[in-house]
Amino acid sequence: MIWRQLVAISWAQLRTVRNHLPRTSAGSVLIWLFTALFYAVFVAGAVALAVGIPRAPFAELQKWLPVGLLAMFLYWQIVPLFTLSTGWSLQINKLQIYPIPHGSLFGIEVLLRLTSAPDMLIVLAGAFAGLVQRADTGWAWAFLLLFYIPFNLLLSLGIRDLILHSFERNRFRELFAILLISIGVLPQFLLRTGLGKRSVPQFLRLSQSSIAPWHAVASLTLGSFSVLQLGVIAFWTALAYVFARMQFQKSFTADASFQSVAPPARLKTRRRDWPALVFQDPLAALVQKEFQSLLRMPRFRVVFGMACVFSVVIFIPLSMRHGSRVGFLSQNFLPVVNLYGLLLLSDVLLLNSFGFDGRTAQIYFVTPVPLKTVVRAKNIAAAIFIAAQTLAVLVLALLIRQSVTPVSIAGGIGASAVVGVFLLGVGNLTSVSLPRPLDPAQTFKKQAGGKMQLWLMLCTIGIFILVGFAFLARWAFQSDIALLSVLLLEFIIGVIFYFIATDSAVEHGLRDSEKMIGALSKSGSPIGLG
Amino acid sequence: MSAAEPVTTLPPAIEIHDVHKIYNGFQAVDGLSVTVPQGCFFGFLGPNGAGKTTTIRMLMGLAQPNSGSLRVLGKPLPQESLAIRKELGVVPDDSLLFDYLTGGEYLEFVARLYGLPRPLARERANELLDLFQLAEDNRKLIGGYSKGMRKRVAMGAALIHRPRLFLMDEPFEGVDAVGARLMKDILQEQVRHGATVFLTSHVLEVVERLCDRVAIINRGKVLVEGTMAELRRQASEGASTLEDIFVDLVGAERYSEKLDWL
Repeated sequence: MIWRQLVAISWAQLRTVRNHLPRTSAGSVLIWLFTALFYAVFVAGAVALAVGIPRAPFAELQKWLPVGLLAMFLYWQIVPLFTLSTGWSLQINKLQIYPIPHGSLFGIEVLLRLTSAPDMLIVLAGAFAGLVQRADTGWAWAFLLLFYIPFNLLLSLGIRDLILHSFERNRFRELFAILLISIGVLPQFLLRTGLGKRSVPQFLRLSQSSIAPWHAVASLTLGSFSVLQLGVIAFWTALAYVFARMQFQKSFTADASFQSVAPPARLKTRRRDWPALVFQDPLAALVQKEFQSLLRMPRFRVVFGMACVFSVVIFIPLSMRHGSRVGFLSQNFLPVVNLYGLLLLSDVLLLNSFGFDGRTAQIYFVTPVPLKTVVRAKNIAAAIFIAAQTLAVLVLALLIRQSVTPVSIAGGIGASAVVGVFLLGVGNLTSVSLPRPLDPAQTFKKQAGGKMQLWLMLCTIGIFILVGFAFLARWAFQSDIALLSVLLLEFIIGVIFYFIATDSAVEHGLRDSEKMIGALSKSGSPIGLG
Repeated sequence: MSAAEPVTTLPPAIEIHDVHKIYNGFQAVDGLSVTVPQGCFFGFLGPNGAGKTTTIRMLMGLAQPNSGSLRVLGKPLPQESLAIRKELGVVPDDSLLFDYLTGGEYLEFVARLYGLPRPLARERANELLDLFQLAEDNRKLIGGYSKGMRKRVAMGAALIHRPRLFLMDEPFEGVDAVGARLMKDILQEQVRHGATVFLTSHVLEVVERLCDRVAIINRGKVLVEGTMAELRRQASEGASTLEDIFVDLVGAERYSEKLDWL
């Protein structure tokens, strides 16, 4: 019975994925290509381990294997949070009504954690292949490396569920998410700011701690069998199991319905009436609606918060070199941080602007509002959020005393304006041609489809080229005026492009409204893809 | 049945002529022709998959026919789509509600899309919230509404600009008896004032009680159309209620099929 249920869930998932996959397109080929390239890096690392470990001196291996396993542990647990991509997971609310024992669901959920860090499994396989070849440790011991997988899977599941449950607490979730994600850049921060010099020995000491799971696994796989080490890894795995099971169990008791978003205070409602002072209805009503809804959506609030705060946090260490503030990044902190923030916002605000509306986007076709007005309203709201993000970054940069000069401010605003106007144009086209419903409550899932991710990638390249020209001009002419002039010229071209792209998008949207609404009305599968 | 007689001097509220609609090779609507006079409470019935929702979606402008013509309030679709939409009040099968707005905010938003001045939009929104007993929850987001509440707020949105034609796909689904009664009373009142209601519902007793005229469709074609009296005359002997007529026309064969294991 249980086995049949597991097979049924897997079958439904495979069918869903298959039915959603683009049949044949250049886009999908490119996506596969980029994915293959990404994993090829890890495969290369795995091969290097498979070749290098058999030749490494035993003493070196004793020192560095725990370090490698600790690094792997950190990557496995933190990187999925850092990328807002937590891998595949069961949609408990959709499966809860069926007679499936919780234990079975838990088992599947643990296995699905494998998708949260497949890169680490590749590296682990390389290390395993290397250890098997060593004559001095004995091939059988290498199998004990596999103990590391359930420990990491269980812990990763527990952390993921803990975060999701914490997010159910209103208001708290955004702050928590940003805080949590900021932890992801802590190692980098420590290393780049010079604090790393003090941290590296501590990190090495931590890797050699005899009560740590990475040290226990490393010792066991290198043939130093002891009951204590076995007990250590068994203890950590059991602890991770209890933690994961407790958090998973909470998923069944948690209210899966619409979260208890606090109702807006009357004062706040009034404040959001401001579009009516600037625009006329229906444009004002549409802009107001964008603000009212977006600011209440957990997904948007997290992404916007990340664009404003996290983007600054992530680039501070990068802009420092051993404590001193020199180099390209420190000189161009504002443009770089603004552009990174814009890229974060593009998925929810620009490239798929009807995503949060989902099937409700039909309203734009049944009420007497021209589609162009709707698109314009969404663009106005997006432009205001981009301006707010630029301002927030500037204020933060001033607060942390990053090098902020009038030229860097102008450069930052100019770069945001250029990229923003181009992204608005491109986004209007992709919003009508590649629409996809976004779940506003899902803070921790990547929701962009394959094609959209490809667009994001192309946009990133485009942004580098666009802004690169301006910096190239400054370098060539050794003049800030050259930088600003090129940015101004690009902005003018961007505005022209925006109007052409928007007209084309509106025409496309009206012509293919059925397709657009159909795409926005699609619902999910038994397993959510993160 | 509504007390008002259909107003015949005006162009028909809806004229559907020989409309075909194909979805991925499936003939959802197959040569459908229906005329609904203004001031009429019109019931549009059919089994699941008969083409009712597709027809309503075409009338709303959400889907385009492959062939045939549609006129709403005398204006051709899709050529005068924008002008037509101003006169429509719609309650689709899946309500077009923004989960992250409150009921009041949503009603005001819709009113402004229909061009009502803000103070009037707000005033009507508040009155409709009171009328549909949503005022107590006026600070609750729509995402937290029950199905019945969602239908009620959708109904409010359909009424807020006083449309001339209502297109309603299962408007009473999930609404409690008191709410449904209120909605029916309002719709009947609107018809008495000259509005037209084009309604689909699987609750045949409701349709029988409310509608002046009824069309029953199956596989995208009209099987019968007329007043209840006309339908009774066309139906086989012994079919006196709308349910009898409906089952007689589209559902009889289902009863002959039985599953051994059930």
